[in-house]
Amino acid sequence: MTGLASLTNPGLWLIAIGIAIVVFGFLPGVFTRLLARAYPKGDPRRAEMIAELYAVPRGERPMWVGEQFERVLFEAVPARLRLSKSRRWEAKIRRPKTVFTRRAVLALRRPTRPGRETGVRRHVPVYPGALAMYGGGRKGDGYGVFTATRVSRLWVTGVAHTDDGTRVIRFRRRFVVGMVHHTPERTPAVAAGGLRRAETQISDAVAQRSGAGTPRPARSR
Amino acid sequence: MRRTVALSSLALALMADPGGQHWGYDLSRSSGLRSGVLYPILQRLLDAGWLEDDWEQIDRSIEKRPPRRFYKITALGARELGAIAASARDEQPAASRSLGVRLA
Repeated sequence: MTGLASLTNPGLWLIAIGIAIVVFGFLPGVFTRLLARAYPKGDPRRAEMIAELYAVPRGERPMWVGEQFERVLFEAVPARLRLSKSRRWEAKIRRPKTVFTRRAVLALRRPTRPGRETGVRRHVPVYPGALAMYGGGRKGDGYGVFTATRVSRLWVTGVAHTDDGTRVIRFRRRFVVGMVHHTPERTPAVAAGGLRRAETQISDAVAQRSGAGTPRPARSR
Repeated sequence: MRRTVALSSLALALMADPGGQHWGYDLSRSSGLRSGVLYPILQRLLDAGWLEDDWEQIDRSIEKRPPRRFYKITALGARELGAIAASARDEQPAASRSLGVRLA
């Protein structure tokens, strides 16, 4: 009897209708817009997600929004992280006065001594920003010369030009190698996910600067 | 591109109307794929040039909703997705036959 009595209670009906309005009408839109913001600005998937909500029948919207969590987790979050990493590197490269301990020049491709080669080991993961270093290069004595900024996860043998001559130095992981004399307009824009393209650009630039042919990968020492 | 069950399902859904415009939600219904699976595949197909996307032209003041993004199959996509859909159709009866033998 108490159950039947509660069904006829208008207050409970009002609460139930209110919950239905919130769950099926209000919350899906709010959550979808919040989730869409996980995509980087300008990403078409941002507007697409919001627009698709209106194509979903109201009864299915709460479940559909739940599915969007999965989508955001595997699409938007990695995209956001890539963009953030890329921006950090770009900011570092474009900083007008970056003080490093010395100026270092990487000799890519040409041997610095007989039997010794230098270069980027292809299988070593390289940050996009580190790859963007090739733009501010200058040519030295027969070397394909590049000015480097902070080199991370890069294993190369390099040549440091000093006043008293040239000496061979070896750069290690996360080692600050030199003063950046950057020319931002020549720095390639390495977009998120554009690592492969950047590698190709570097290969082309190296080949162009040091003669025909593709650069050989460095021999690890 | 790596051929998966999800890609085959999507290829079948897309090739049901090779010249038409395909919408994300409708594709998820027709292919039976969840959003978390469908949209990454659509993105890969866009990157590969098998699909192209555009936005519908609507008057927002009349429709009271934002324009939706749609996908269209390119010539390359029609060839590749057609092949995947055809092999998926071939495999379905074969799988049914093998299941029938096992059950018998």
